[in-house]
Amino acid sequence: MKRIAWLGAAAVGLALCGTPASAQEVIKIGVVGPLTGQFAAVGQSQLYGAEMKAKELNAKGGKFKVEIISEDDASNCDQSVNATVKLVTRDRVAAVLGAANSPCALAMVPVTKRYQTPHFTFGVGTAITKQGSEWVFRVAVAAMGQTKALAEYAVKKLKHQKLAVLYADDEYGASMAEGFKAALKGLGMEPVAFESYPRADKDFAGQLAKVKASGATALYPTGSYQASALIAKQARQLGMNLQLLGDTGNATPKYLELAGEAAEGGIIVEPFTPADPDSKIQTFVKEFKAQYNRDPDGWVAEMYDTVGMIAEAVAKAGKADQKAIRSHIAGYKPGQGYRGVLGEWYFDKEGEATFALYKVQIKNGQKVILER
Amino acid sequence: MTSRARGAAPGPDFKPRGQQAMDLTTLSQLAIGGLTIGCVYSLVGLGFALTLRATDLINFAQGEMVMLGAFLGLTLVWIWPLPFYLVFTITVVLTGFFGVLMERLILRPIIKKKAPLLNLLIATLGVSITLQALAILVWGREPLPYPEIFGQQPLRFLGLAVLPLNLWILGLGLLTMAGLQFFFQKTMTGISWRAASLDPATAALYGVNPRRNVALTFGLSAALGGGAGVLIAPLFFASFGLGHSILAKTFAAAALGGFGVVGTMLGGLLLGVIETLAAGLISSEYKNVIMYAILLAILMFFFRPRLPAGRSITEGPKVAAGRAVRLLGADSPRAAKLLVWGLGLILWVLPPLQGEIYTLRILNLAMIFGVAALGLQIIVGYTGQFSFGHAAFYGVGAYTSALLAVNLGCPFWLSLPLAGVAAGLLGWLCAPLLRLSGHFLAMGTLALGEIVFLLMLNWKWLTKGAYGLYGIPFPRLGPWEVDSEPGYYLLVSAVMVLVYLALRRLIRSRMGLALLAVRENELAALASGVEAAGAKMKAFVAGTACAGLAGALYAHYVSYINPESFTFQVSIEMVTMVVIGGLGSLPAGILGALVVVLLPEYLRALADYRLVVYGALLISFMMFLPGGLADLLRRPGRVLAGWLGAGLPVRGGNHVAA
Repeated sequence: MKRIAWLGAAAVGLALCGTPASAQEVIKIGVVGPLTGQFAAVGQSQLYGAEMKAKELNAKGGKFKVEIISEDDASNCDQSVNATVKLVTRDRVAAVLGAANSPCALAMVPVTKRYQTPHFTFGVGTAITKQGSEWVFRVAVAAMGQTKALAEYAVKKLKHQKLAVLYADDEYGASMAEGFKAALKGLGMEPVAFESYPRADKDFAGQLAKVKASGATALYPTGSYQASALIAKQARQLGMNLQLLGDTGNATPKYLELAGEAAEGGIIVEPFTPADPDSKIQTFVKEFKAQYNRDPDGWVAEMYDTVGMIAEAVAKAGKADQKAIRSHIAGYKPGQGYRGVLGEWYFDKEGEATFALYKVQIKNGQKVILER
Repeated sequence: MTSRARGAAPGPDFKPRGQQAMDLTTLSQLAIGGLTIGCVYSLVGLGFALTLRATDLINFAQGEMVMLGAFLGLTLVWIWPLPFYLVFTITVVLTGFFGVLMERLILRPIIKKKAPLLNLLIATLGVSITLQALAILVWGREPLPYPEIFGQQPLRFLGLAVLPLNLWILGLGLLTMAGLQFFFQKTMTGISWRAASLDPATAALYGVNPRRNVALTFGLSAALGGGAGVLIAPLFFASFGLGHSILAKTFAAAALGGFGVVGTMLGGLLLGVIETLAAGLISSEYKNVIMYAILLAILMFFFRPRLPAGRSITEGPKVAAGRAVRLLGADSPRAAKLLVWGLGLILWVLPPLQGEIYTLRILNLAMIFGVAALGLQIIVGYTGQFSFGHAAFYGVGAYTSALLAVNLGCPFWLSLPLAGVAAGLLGWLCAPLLRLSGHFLAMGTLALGEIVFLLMLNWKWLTKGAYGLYGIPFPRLGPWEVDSEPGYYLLVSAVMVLVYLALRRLIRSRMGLALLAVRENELAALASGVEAAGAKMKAFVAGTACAGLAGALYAHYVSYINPESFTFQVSIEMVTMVVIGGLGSLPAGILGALVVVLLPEYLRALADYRLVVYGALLISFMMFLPGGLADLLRRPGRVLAGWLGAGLPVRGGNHVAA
């Protein structure tokens, strides 16, 4: 946490006295996300990912130096937009990453569009890439894609016929839950229970009783990983024997720590998993662990790759120019994309990335890959 | 690779029992769960009730006592493997001590200044913000699980599964409540406390030390919160937002019980059970709507004061006292007024000339909030009525204008006033709430705000729910499309000035005098022939309409809205604006909005320390500037008036506050 304070101070110092004279050109990248409030952990992952890649690139030296400017939005969309305006107009960043909360990322789209700044987010809300902005890139699998993968796995592979959904009544939970429902419909099914909970709630006994009465054999809780962990625990305490399903929201190691034994056997779809034996991924995991003393999650990996893409684009263009970055990244094609820890990156016209998700299962507190 | 973990997932041979209604066992299971959580609501709610009874204060820091208890307990468990009941006891003592400290260092100096109630309230809000930010620095942002102190294996009897932890919570919780009841009924200190909470002046005559009593209250409240924290943290993890998430519900528990000791205990238990059963039986989407509606109904039926004048306005400390009515006294020379207005004009012209987009952006937001704050100033500052639901009207305005523009293509010049009308109309419909007084009104407006928020979230056919509305067009006035920051600066300024002028006209009229009379002493106002209920209603409608206008300006400015922008948190922020600016002064409302919006933005550089500093600033504002910024500005204003009027005779060198 001191690091962020230091970074923040450095950012302000820089903003105040201008860039120090040096032979290296600076690529400024703004990061907007919650560092306080309920979703602080997600914002933290986002920042760590960007920061780690920046450090790595800077250690290599070269013509360009990456500078990360972090802004806290406390999950408040007004603050996300304010921070974006500050980053874009005052700090003149080459690209903006964020916000971690999907509605706030959506709120930022008009600003990045207007000031023609490449905008990268792992927000899952469908609407983010439907605003007619060529400047926004989603560096994650959207709600629809994630839930489709999850629903098909649960129904086709695990043969579940009665699936229940328990979702947070915010934009994230609603997007995921509706996506899952649509995916089930595509399979000719309907969820047997479809319950929401107020996002700050911590007691789910009532909703779980409904799930129990519905005779569901599998439960898909979605919302914050904290709530999902509590749901897993409380379901177990009520003696319910359910196959748990989870999306990338639960992909963080913190979910396993909080849910403990209750997470056992659960299936999670995630864009990244530290369990992958691939040597590139293992080096990344080891490096991250050495610096931050925990396993990286999907959010870390996504932002790590994003900063990599930006740096590559700048190196190609020879200057930290917004237009050049955008056109380079928009020009990625299958087979000619950027190769990061998450595999190959390329985007469609709307700025949507395509990559296969891992299906992992939790066994003895560890993630085991089922398929990708 | 598709094998499943042992026993965690039902095998394919598992036969689902199929749809079935909820049986008695499930119901009892739910009731037990509800009682457990209700027990925690009771403990925290008792803290609310005690402070409210003894000092008339709603203590926003009560939630943070829960958080503190959770973290202190966890730290104790980490360094020292003590049995749970000892951890509980030590934490209770520690948080209790903290509560006394808070009273001594922060609240007592404010109470001593005879500051209005709202100032104390904002101070506790400052404590709450600071403590949360400090907790993040010490314990980190992520929730921390408790070690498994009790077995995870549920005890089973009569087909019910009960965790040992639930039994501990129920046991220790009920024991604490019994102890408290004994303390109040049988011990001398407890009896004196009750006497003092009923009538401090008379109790003092009989030798009850009122100061010690207040200290005792805060100590006890904090201890109860801390105890609740240790009890629920093993269930819900220790996190910095733990207390915050149950704040509204525990307050509702206290209100449900009429802020009495036994009442709150029962209220909390009842609330826990109702909440859990409602989620299980009726609808999880509407369970909180149901809860708040019940609360409103109870308030309206049981806590409506018999006398139209109510109790706390005349008896307790005032919500808003007669301070800072004008920045410049009426006797200030004309030159001073012109100078102040000229200075304001220059300050207003500078940002667009300097042309920094970011500065303009936050100024625009600040002025939008300024319009809402002007409205709240009428309700709180001039009429002395609590409102914790202002964001609801702001939201109604935002949604009205946005929906009109997006769905019907309604032009901005029409949708803006319609947004004001819609919010004002809702304000008029809610006017019966104003029969409540003091903290009951606070609770009522809080519940109202929550209900409106939940409806925005759940009326998906209209509002698109959590997804929100996007693509709200920029305002178009004739040929001019306001799509730039400087353009919006002009537009918002114009609306703000119009609202300001209209409200100034209102408060300088006969009606304004009636409002002030109601604020100062409702009973006396009634006796003097002021139609208090009508005056309050008009003020409320005018104030809420302003919030609606602000909402419309906001919606078209950010072009994307969702219900998150209109939460209880935003209502509190608006109250903070009015108090920091100075109650009972229109320009002060705008000033407060500027400070509350600009301050966190300019504190960004402090990163993790941002909220620590923001909270501390709120506290020090209330401690050293009880009259708000208006008080601070009045002094140079006076000096200025003195200089300019040096040639003229200045009446009374030493002014008494207006």
